[in-house]
Amino acid sequence: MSELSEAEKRQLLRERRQRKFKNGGASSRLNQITGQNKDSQLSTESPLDVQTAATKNTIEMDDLFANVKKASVENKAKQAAIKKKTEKEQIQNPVNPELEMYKHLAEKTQDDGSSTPEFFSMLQSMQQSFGEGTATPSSQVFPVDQANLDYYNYKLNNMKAVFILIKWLVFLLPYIYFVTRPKLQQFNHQFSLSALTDSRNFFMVFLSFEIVAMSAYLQKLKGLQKGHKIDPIQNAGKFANLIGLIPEGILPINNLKGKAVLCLQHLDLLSLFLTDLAFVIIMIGIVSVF
Amino acid sequence: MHWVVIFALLFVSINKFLQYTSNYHERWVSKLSLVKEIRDLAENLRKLIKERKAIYEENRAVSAQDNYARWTKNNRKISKLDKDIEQSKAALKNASSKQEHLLKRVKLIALTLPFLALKLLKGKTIVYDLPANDMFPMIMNGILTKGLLYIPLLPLNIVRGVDPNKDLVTAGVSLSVWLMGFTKVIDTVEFIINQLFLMPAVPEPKHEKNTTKEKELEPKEIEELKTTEAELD
Repeated sequence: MSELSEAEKRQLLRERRQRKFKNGGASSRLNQITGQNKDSQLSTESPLDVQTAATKNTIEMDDLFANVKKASVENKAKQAAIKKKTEKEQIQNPVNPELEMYKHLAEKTQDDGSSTPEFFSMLQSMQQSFGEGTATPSSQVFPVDQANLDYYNYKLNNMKAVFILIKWLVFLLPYIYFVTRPKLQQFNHQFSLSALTDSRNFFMVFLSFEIVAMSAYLQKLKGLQKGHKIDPIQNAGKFANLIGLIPEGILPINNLKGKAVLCLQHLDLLSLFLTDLAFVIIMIGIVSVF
Repeated sequence: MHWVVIFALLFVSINKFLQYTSNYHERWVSKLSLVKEIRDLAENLRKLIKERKAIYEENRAVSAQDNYARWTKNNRKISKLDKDIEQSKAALKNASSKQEHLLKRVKLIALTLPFLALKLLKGKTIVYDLPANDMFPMIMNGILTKGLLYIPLLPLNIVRGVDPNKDLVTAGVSLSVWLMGFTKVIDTVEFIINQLFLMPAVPEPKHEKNTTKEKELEPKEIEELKTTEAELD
């Protein structure tokens, strides 16, 4: 038995193919590829036929756009009509915003099926229903860069700590020492510091120093916020965010969240002042004892 | 020094000590417990943790590819020990829950309530006198000497025509105000030390710099980029 080698087999096949092409078999092969044989199941549609489908699609798309435009115009007209109607109704039957709030709350409890709906979700849904069309800057949500915020908080606390340390060690402690030491009154008189170190002027000098120190602290704080592009209203704490959930119109105060943030900033300053006062009271005791 | 001040300082020191050592309370309580079961469970847990640590260190020192059999055997031991540790922790927690409840009651009776009683009963005791009566304004002198109750009583005294500072001979600092100031100063000192010396630094966030600016296209280029109908076809 003679087994043909691979090369010989290929040679034979090549020769057969060439004979076929010579005998006009090429057209049949070509017909097979293009699917023009009788038995072929290949699609005979030319790419040129797709062009008509694309143009059809563009025409359909144009119609669709036109329809959508028409629908939006009709919708707007409808909404304007509804708004006019509600305004007429409101003039005839004035709506109490508090009543509306309670109605909304009642609806919410019925929807949830629970007797104590979550407070935050209620306030949020109220804000949505009352706040439609009155988008306040505080209602816009921007993504917060957490790494930047952490770094800003770290810098802020550092600044606060250094600020307190300098105030206590450089200004308050020496001043308390000079005021509470009667032996040093002569020294003070020689250098015309008697007005400053007189015990009668102590609280006035202390208060003036605190006002200047707080102003400097506030300037530094604003600079830090600007440098790190931190908006105190956006990055407010839980309390301010809670206040921000109260919808506009309930209380006669505009921009409630901004005002809450301002109050918290002032409370921070007040806390710093009370810390300094506490330090003064404790140091007076220590210095007078020792 | 007045005994009231000494006791107040003692209570403040104990509270601060308990606050700073709060992470070790569970360990101390389990070690020094009078109940044998809790001591045994705590000892067993410590042994398991020690064993796990030793096997883990051994595994880290050995290459997983070169000593595969030993490494996987150790790994299986570690996962078994993890389960045992969790069970032991749960058992210890169950056993010591009653004891913890009892210790909380003891802290309340021995520390919190006496301190509160001292502040309420002896809050007006003068700790020290101010060097001069005119250092602070009249209202502040009243608050420092008589405590925070001076503030709500002030308008009442004014309405009644009573001088609110009639008993004030020398201005001083009362125990209640002094304790508030003292704890505030200690908390601030803690904050400063923690922030400046103990807290690890937070690294500055790196922002990706866009070095290549987006080229603004001219109207001609925009026209060229617009696909024509022929191109779509």
